Amino acid sequence: MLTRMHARAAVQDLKNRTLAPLHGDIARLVYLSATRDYNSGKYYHDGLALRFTEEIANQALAQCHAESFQKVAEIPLRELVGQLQEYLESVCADEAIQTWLDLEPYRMLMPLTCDPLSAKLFCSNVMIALTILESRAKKQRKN
Amino acid sequence: MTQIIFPLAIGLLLLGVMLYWLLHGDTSRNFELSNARDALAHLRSDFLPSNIVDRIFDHDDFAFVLDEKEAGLLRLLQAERKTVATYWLRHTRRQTTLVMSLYLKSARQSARLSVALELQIALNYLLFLTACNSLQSLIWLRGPARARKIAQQTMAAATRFCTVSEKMLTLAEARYAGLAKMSGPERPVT
Repeated sequence: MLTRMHARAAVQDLKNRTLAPLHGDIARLVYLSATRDYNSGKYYHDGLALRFTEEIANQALAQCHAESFQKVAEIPLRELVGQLQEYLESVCADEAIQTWLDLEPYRMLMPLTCDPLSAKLFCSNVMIALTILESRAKKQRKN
Repeated sequence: MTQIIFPLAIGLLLLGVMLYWLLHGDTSRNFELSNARDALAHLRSDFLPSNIVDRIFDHDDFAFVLDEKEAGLLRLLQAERKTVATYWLRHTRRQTTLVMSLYLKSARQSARLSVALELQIALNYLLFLTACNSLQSLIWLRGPARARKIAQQTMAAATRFCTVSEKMLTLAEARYAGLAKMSGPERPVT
C-alpha cells in the first residue's frame, strides 16, 4: 500500500519536475527511453532514486514511458510530423532526418511492455513522418 | 491367502491407474482453461485496442498526405497502412481461432452449456470470420482508408466473440472449481 503511494508520488514528481519542462511528446519519449539501460531494460534516474528508491524510480519511469509511447502511437500523422519537426529542429534538423531514416533510432523509443500492433504502427508512422519531412526539406532546398 | 492377495493387488493397481487418470485429466483440463483465459486476454489487450485500429484505418492521415502533393508519399502511406492492417487482421484471426480451438478442447467438455450459448459462440465466430474475409478483400482492392467501416464491424464482431467466450470460460471455470472441490479432501460425507 505504502509502495503504491510512493510509486504514485514518484510518477507525479517525474511529470512535474522533469517531463513538464520538456517541449512536446516526442522529446518526452526520447528522454524517457534514454533513462533505460538497453541491456537490463531497467530505468535509472538519480534524482528520483534519491527521493524515493531505485525500484520506485524504475517503476515510475517505466509507467511514464508506456503512457508517453501510447500517446505518440495514437496521434494523427499531421500532428506527428509537426512534433517530429519541432524535436529534430531542436537538435540539428537536416542531418537528424537522414540519420533517423538510416539508423532508425526510433525503434529504441518503444517500451518493453508495448503491444506489437502499437509498436508496428508507431514505427511505420515515424518512418512516414520522416519521409514527409525529408521531402519538404528537398523541396525547400530546390526553391 | 495368495488367492486373496493377487486379486487385491490387481484391484489396487487398477484403482491407482484410475485415480491417476482422474487427477491428470483434471490438471490438464485446468491447464487448458487457463490457456484459453490467457489467449483471450492476449487477444483483447494486444489486438483489439480500438484507438490503434482506428488510427490504422483513419482517412484524415490520407487526406493530410494528399495535401503534400507528392505521389510517392501517398504510395508509401498506402503500402505501410496495408502492411499494418494485414498484420492486425492476420494476428487477430489467428488469436481468435486459438481461443475457439481451446474452447472446443476444454471448456466445452467442462461446462454443460446451453444450446443458446453454444449457438451464440459459433455464430459470433462465423460472423467474425466473414467480416475478416470481407475486410481483407477490401484492403487489397481499395486500400485501408476505404475499409474503415468494415474494420469497425470486424472489431465489433471480435469484441462480441470475446464477450461470449468470456461468459463461457467463466461458466467452465465455475464448473471445474465445483468438481475440484468435490474430488478434493474436503469432500462432504453423504
